[in-house]
Amino acid sequence: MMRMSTVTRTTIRMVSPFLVAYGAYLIVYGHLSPGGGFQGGVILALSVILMMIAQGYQDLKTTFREKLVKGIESGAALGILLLAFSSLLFGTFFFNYLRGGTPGELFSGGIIAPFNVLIGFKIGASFTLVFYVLIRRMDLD
Amino acid sequence: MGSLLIPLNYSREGKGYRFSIDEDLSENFNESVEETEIDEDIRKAFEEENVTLDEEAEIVEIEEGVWEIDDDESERYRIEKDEEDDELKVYGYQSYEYYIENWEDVGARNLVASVLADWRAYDTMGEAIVLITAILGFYIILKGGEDDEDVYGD
Repeated sequence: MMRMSTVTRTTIRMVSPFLVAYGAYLIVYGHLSPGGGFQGGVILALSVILMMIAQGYQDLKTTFREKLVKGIESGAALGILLLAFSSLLFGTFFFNYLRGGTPGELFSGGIIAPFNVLIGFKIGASFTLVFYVLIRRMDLD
Repeated sequence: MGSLLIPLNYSREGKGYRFSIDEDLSENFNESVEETEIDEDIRKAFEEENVTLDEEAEIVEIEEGVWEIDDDESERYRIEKDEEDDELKVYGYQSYEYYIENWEDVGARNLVASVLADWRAYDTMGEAIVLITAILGFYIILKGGEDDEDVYGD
């Protein structure tokens, strides 16, 4: 696949790490400030997709392997189910058994934070996978 | 039916009731259930709290000391006998109030996150499963292995 111009490539290479950091921030602090798993996950996926569009899919497909992306997606989905079923030990399905903590601190809100992290990984991997499938079709044509 | 509307730990916490009424009315509740019509005294007690029950509101007994009133305006009330305080507590089935009143239970500062990932985590998981199904379908239809180039039907 084609690569984009030097200006675009350099800019995106500079911006991508910040996008990853911002996405991670949105996910991890999802229970304290606006944001959350979905939003952060989309930004994570976006940073990967941007890199791939700018640098060319052929060069980057060894860095972000499709098997890895698939693994993250399925693993995160399984993790969400595990988290949900682990609540059965303490009460009902999806009961937040770690509730409490001082509101406003990072370690508060119980299972909200791990749940957000798993959702973020899942959404990020999902959108990247969609991009993979689409771009491979273009490759074959 | 209505139980789907209640947050999971609704009655476990024993908080979040809207108002309480006199315990003497529990006789009236039992009579109302038999006559399938809501007693005037109950209507009055509700009106004192600015709640007007519809003419065709229905009342059911769930178990001893617990009744449910199905108002026509898609509101439901659950009335529970409280042994400690000797009064009847009326719980609203409209869950938004519950969320706001019990915000601090979760310990997170973000109400949206509390709703999405605690009380309604079940829904969020559903959304994630919708997404995984979509991806799966997408993948099955569009996937082309590197070794079979014939996949697009040439």
